[in-house]
Amino acid sequence: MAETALLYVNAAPPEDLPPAPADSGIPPLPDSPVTSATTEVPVEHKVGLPQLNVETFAGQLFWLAVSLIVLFLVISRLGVPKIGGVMAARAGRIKGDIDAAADSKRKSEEALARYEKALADARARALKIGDDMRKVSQDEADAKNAAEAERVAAETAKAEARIAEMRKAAMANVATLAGDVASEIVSKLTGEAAPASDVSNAVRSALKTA
Amino acid sequence: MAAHGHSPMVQFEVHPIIPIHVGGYDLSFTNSSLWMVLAVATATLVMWLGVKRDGIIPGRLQSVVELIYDFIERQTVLNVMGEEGRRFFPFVLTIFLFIFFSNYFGLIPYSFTVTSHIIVTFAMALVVFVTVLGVGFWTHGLHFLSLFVPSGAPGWLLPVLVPIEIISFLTRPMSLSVRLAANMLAGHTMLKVFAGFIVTMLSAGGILAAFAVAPLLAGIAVTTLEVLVAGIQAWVFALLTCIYLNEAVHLHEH
Repeated sequence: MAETALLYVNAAPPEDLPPAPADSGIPPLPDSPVTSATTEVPVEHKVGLPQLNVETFAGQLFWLAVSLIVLFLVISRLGVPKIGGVMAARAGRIKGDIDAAADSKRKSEEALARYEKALADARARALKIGDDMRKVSQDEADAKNAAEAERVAAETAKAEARIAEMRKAAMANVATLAGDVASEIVSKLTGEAAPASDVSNAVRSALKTA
Repeated sequence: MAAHGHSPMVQFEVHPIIPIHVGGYDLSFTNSSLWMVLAVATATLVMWLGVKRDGIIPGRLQSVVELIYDFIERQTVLNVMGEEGRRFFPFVLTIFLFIFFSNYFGLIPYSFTVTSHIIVTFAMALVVFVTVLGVGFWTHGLHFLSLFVPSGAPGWLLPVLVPIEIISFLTRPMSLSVRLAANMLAGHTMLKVFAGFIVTMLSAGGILAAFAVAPLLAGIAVTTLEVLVAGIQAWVFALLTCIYLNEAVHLHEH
């Protein structure tokens, strides 16, 4: 560092006039108490703030411009495209993965819906088949019942007709038989045959009252 | 360091390392230039190393780079300016990274704080100011001047308000540059003063030497504060740049 200081002393442009405090507008800084006693080197530092040393301005501005331009070029040509590209790629990858996951979820939900629909359809079809079967057998049974009832009714009517006929025949036989019996009784009691017309009249009236 | 004495201002002196004189101007490569170049080199190196692998899953350095990138892009530039601010992002990031590394390098003992020099910060503030003017007139033409007419103010107040607005606009480069340079100057001066106290008291010996612990603790406290200030001031400069640019782009519509 001593070399640097030496360089500084040499490189500093010679000044004819000692820098007056009034030039910089800032009062000279008092030397710190330690150095004032022990300083061996002559005071080579300029009085006042180094920030106000106008001689350094051109150099600082030049190197600042160089630095900022280089940094700007590095950032705008290399940094931003590269870092931004990586971050965009990652964001795209994450978005793609999330989209894919959402897609899979949607597909599985669709499959579930299809499965449930198929299940419901099958259940409905089974119910319908059961209902149809029940209805068919019911109809068959009803038809059989009706046919049987009809047959029974027909048989009954036939039987009743036969009974009525038999009864009519029987009743006719009863009248003839009663006449015969009455004539026989009369001839036995009186010894003479009763006229047939009287007998049949009597039998008829008797049957009527019976 | 014998030649440097103990004045707290010595640390701010600019010394030529490689003398260069062009057309009567002293463009020597100085300690200031050295730390500027180091800031640029470090920013470049960190970015380059950070994205060298450009992995989808970031490594440690890449995470840091992306953190800074995202902090400036999304949380500063886009947050203040909206999507239109994207084209200013490289500009703002350049300013931020340069100040950021300059400020932090300034905390290294025996280094030089580039941003403690008002000429440097003022030049950067002027670049921002000129950019704001350029963007404003480029985007809005003469309508850009309506920036100086506060919306919704009663007409009779305008003769008062407009000059105030113009003055506040014109003093922005001053406030922007002084804020940064003064922070760096004051912080580093304090550090040096406290450090000087320690040396003074120790060399005095006796009871004073025992009390040297007080400036030591103060120095630690100030150093901690300076670590914060170095980052915050870099961000403040970038944020204000965004706010000024946003006004140039959007005028009063908010």
